[in-house]
Amino acid sequence: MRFLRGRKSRLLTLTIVAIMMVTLVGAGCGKSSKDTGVLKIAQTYDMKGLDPINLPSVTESQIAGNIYDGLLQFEYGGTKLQPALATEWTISPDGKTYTFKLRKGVQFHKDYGEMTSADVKFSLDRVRDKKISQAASNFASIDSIDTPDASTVVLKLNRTDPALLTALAAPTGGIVSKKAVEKLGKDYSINPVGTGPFAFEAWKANTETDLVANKKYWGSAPKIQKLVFVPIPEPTTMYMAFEKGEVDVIQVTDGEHYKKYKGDAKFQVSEIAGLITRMIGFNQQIKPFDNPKVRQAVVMGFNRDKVINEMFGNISTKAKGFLAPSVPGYEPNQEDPPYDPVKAKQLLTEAGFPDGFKTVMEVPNIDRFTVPATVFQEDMRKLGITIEYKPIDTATALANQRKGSVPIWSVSWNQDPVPDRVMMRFHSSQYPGNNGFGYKNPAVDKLIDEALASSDDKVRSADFSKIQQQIAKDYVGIWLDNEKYIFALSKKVKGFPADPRRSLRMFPVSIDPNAK
Amino acid sequence: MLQYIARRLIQTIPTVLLVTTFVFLIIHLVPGDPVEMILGDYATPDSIVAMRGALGLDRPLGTQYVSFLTGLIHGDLGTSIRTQRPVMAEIRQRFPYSMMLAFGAVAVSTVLGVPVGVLSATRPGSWQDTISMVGALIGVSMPTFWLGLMLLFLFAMKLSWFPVIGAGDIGNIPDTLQHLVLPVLAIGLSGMALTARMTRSTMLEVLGQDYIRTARSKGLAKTIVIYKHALRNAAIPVVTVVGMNIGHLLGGAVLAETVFARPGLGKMVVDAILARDYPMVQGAVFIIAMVFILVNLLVDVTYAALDPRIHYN
Amino acid sequence: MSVVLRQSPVPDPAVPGAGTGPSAAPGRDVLLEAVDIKKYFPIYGGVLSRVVGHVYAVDGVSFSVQRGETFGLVGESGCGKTTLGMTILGLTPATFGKVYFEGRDIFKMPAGEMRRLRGEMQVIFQDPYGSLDPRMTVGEIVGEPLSAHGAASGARRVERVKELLSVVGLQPMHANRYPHEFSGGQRQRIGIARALALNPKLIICDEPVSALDVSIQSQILNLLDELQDQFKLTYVFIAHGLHVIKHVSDRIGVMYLGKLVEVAPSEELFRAPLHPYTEALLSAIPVPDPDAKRQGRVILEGDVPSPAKPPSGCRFHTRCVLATDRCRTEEPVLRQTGAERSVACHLRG
Repeated sequence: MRFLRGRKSRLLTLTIVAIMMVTLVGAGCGKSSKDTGVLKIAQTYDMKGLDPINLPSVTESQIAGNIYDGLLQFEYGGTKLQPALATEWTISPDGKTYTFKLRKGVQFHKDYGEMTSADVKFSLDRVRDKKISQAASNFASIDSIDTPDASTVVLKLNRTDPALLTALAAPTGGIVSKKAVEKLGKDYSINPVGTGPFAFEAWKANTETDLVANKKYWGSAPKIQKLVFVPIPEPTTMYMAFEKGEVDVIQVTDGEHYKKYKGDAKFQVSEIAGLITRMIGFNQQIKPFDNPKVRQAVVMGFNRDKVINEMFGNISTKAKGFLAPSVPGYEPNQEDPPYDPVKAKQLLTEAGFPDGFKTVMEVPNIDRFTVPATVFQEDMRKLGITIEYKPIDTATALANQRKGSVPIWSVSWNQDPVPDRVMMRFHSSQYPGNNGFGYKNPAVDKLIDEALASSDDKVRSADFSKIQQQIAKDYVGIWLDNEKYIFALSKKVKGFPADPRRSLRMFPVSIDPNAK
Repeated sequence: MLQYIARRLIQTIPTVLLVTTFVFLIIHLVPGDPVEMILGDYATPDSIVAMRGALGLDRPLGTQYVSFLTGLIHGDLGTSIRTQRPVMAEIRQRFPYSMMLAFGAVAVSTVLGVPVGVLSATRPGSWQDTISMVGALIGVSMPTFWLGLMLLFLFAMKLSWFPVIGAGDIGNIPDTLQHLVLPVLAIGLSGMALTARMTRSTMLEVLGQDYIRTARSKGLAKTIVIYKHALRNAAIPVVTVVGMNIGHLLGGAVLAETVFARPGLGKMVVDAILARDYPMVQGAVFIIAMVFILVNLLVDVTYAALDPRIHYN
Repeated sequence: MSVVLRQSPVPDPAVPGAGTGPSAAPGRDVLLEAVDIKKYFPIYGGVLSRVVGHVYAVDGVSFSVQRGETFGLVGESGCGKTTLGMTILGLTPATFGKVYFEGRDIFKMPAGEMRRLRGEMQVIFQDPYGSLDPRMTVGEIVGEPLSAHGAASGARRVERVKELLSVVGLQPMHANRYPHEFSGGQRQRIGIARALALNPKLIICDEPVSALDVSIQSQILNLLDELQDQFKLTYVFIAHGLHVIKHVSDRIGVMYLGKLVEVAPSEELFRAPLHPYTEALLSAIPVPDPDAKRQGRVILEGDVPSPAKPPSGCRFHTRCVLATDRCRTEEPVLRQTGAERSVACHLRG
């Protein structure tokens, strides 16, 4: 076939050259946010909508926190409550009437007018409507809302609710423009209108969400012209985009990059212990987890330090108890079972399982849970416990855990700066459902009921302490660790502190154009 | 031919119906509940009941299916549970990006794969052939996800030729193209490998045919013999593979969209499945099934254009 | 059933011209001359696909064809006659040897000139089904050489195609149809029209009728004959049996296992074959009356040896009833035995 072999295929060469030319058009000019006024923030997911009644995940909350104000707000970088749209408030002695005085002259974005008590009532009525609001349970204690005048709002409660003020400060408590919601209907969630430091500008699906500085903000004007939230689902890509300067703020979720950015002068790292606890839970309604000795053996047989130090590279701190330490009411004086496989084996023998047993574990198919789960499985194997380990999608894992159909599961709990909702998870009335432990202790039920109904801080904190100590004694679950919220920032970002709620409020943040 | 196309389009109706029904059943039968997902950790029993009622999820499955079909007939794909916006609007926002990616990848796999296959076939046993076919083997077996990250690392991080993330400004053509190159390569290379291998084997067969000898005896230039006579006769299996590549690409698209942080239907469907956003899953599967069927029809019509011996009607 | 062949005196090996083929006598108008053509196909084997041997498809063949004549090339399947034809045309590169067309060495021509030359050296293939590109209309098949060689384009090309189709006995309207719409005989006419398109001087007819029905064969043969007269064509006519080329050939070359064993004018060859193989081929010609007693009938026994391992000495000795020890060890050369005759046999000539 000399005929065909004769010369190199010129056509092929041409084709390849042509493709190279096309692909290189405009190459070498990777865009970066070098402009002084634009801050690009990476998030894992694309936002699904910015209506306070439907903020499905932390992604939406982080963006919404810049758009909306609540009646109250958290102090910047912390969890203490401060005035926001309400300049002052009073709580009646029985704890069931809250009266808020509204800030005057606050303007909604995009010329939707002045914020009044009507907007507040409208917003809170929406968010407590169980039919449409995903956050309704946070506002379930509100019975009715009165607006005696344009700058006064009175909430009447059906019970005392010490967690309500926190709920009002969270993004779901954000005050929306009644006029805007009524006018925009279904489109409101991608055209949100609030009173916050940044106004919504545009959303491009899976590409970016843009906010611009609100020039008429009632507080100190934001220093950045534009915030761009960029969804980057793959962490490796996110780290590359960050190192290339395509985004300025990222959340670091692995030990390797944590170490890398901490040790590199080109970047800044801001970190804080999160309001979050990662755990492995057992369902006591499924044998043999009804046996406290079995539970104690499992707890003591698991080497948490190995997970935290070796697997996660110290991006979390070891947990003591189920509450995050920064939650008010946290009890530091409680039992913290050490890693002791010898004792664990002995307990198993005492419990009647000298040769261990077989059980099933279901965890969401995410590294955060599968990594500890595999270590756990290995540690349990050493005790003779055979675990059939099933990583499954989050929805199924959550559903099965709520149904009470899985012996061992793993989740992490995001927490409010009040412990009430977390406490309810140990109430026997919540099984099946939020009480995935199948934990039923009448004494604890009573303490929870009392604490949650009380507006007396002394009673509450005493009860919370007892609950935590009792749960530790009952070996209800393995409280693995409290994840740190670690943010890496490019050098030019000034004045950004990580906060325990992982909010990304950017109004005091500035950009130093001279920083390299 | 028009008659044939019309008939084929009518025949798609049962297929689409079957696909959507199947997806409807599957997504409703797997454990997990969209409302529990929305309400999250602190869902209370009464809030779950209330929202299920508001979303119509408490109706019997049959009723929900009928209302889905009724909507479909009226061109309404329903409202996303997760975003509370029309499914059609959600799809429309991502569709152009998915198409760009798919067509880019098919173009790359064809424009590169065919000449490589031809080069190999015209010099069987040569070093070019060996390199091409070993390369094709690697290309077929390379995971898209990993390849995407490697491309990013080399061309975006180290060489700075291309940006790391995003799809670019869709109104700005050079910018859009620049953002398209790496993802298209990431999913197109395996298709290219497949195309190259198929081109090589069919070309080898065709080059041994008598009519190729006839063409050469006419004193035609080598390239004319190869591309006009041989390739045209080898085209049908190659077109089949290109058509199959499109199916393969839909899978690869999810990964490319994830790695390169691009908008697209693939990632949208996966997210919707994970969130048990039933209307979104059904709507997107419906659209993807339609695209798939149209591509198949296009492939069949191409057969007739390529081979006068194939007649429809 | 075989009959002992008549013994001939042992020929003198020192006949002039032996070993270089039957050179044309001076004054003859030689169109094509092939000199010592060899074509070996490598055999690959082993894990590393190394060359482990060769198929000696054509192994040193020389002959010449005069303008206007029909040179028949005959031999059993696998004797290398088709390979020889393709090698002469340059469609298969030769391993060794030279081909002169009108005195020009075609293997040394640049590719462009060679392509131009293809207009003058044409071929009609054996398989009318496989040799026509199924994706092209008859008009394209026949007209393509015209555009490729800049002979005609546009309306003129259409006209020329119609003319060519008429010449071979097809309808002008057939130009718009595809090959699959035609019968074998019609397809072969298309192939002939295509070969004629550029007014060739030489056409190599590679078993042009062997794939056709017997009833069609004579039609095509007659057509070829008419065309030869009409267009002053020179044919190299390849066939696997002598009966096909008996009437069309002026001279005949007989091939066996990659070598020419005998070359002779057609009539002489049929009247007085020299080589035992030729004789055997002649005996194989079917006779109209099966009962007719045939004298000297020679039946070829055994299979054709593999061209990858040709027998030593005379390649025919394994099947030759006359074979002597000399035949087994010494290879006979093609010697000229008369003005236009040569034979490669130790025993004949």
